[in-house]
Amino acid sequence: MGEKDSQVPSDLDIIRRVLRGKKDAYAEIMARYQRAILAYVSRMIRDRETAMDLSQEIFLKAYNSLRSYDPSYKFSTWLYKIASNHVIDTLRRREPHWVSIDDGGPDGTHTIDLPDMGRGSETEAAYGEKVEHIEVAIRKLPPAYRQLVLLRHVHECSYEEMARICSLPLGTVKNRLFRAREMLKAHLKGVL
Amino acid sequence: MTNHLSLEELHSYFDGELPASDCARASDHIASCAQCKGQIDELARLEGALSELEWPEVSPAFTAAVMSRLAPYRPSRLPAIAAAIFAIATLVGGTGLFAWGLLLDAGALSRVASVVTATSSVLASVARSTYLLGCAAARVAEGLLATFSALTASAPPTLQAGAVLAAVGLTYLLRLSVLSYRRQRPA
Repeated sequence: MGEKDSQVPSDLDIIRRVLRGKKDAYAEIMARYQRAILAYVSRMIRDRETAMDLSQEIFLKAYNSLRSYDPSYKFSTWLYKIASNHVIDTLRRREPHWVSIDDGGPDGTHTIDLPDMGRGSETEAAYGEKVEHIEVAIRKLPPAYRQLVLLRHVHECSYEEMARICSLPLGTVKNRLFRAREMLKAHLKGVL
Repeated sequence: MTNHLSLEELHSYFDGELPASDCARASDHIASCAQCKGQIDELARLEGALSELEWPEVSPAFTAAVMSRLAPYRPSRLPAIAAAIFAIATLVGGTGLFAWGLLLDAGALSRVASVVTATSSVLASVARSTYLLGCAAARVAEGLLATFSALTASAPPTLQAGAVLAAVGLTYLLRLSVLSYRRQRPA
């Protein structure tokens, strides 16, 4: 992000300033990534208020761990990894019926009845009907599949980045992503 | 059409992740197979639909809530400590080498006198420039240069090396002091 533009400080420049004690520089990091993180968390966690709280906690965690950031990888990858871990931990804690992806049916598909938490909210009302169908279809995916679809198609991560974010082997990432897309296609039959 | 592409091949092809060796074969097959072509088209429609998803707007209160909970980092002192150790080691080593050179040199006493004179000049300069550390550094450098010049004539290599090392160490220490003074000065 803006790394080629000499006028715009790179993420690493800003992080170095923060580590030198310039706390306020972190607001620039937040300005760059808060929409992306909130978008990701909101689609992983259905409750908007919880998603807001979790997103703030993710930025706090990232700030407190800045010294452990390895600049040989993109900052966004590191941030998404923190977000992914935090969200998955929360889902495991808060949703006792969190479904393992290994519990798939014989055809390899998964259907989970999730309450439509967002239905009727102002945000979703503003969405077109097709987009709402897609949002619902994404929510029906198991979290481990959902995050890969979001990272790949909404946040434009590469396979390698997804593997790093989710701490999974590359082959597993591909396999899960392919299956997730097949499930989405099945959910969205007649919509696409 | 038989020998359709596997699901994994189709998705990898769509993502541009199929190995180059398999890509031409997959491309040829898709061009002539309506079923596989249909799968690729469906993936393209899915990707197009997913790209329509929006990112939520974030209120300034979101950022403010996080920022208010952050404590500023304290800059690490490790580099400064390492630099100070290096400077002191250089200074001590250089001075030791210098002293050793003096002991080995029969005509050292006359040069010691020169050193004392030059050092006095340096100290006087430092005393006059208490409030201006930058100027003091310049005077010290001048004094050291004079000291070095006085020693270079017919001095053995040990003496010369010791003087140079001591000068480098002292200059570096002074530079650290000036930087530290500037850093600690309130804005």
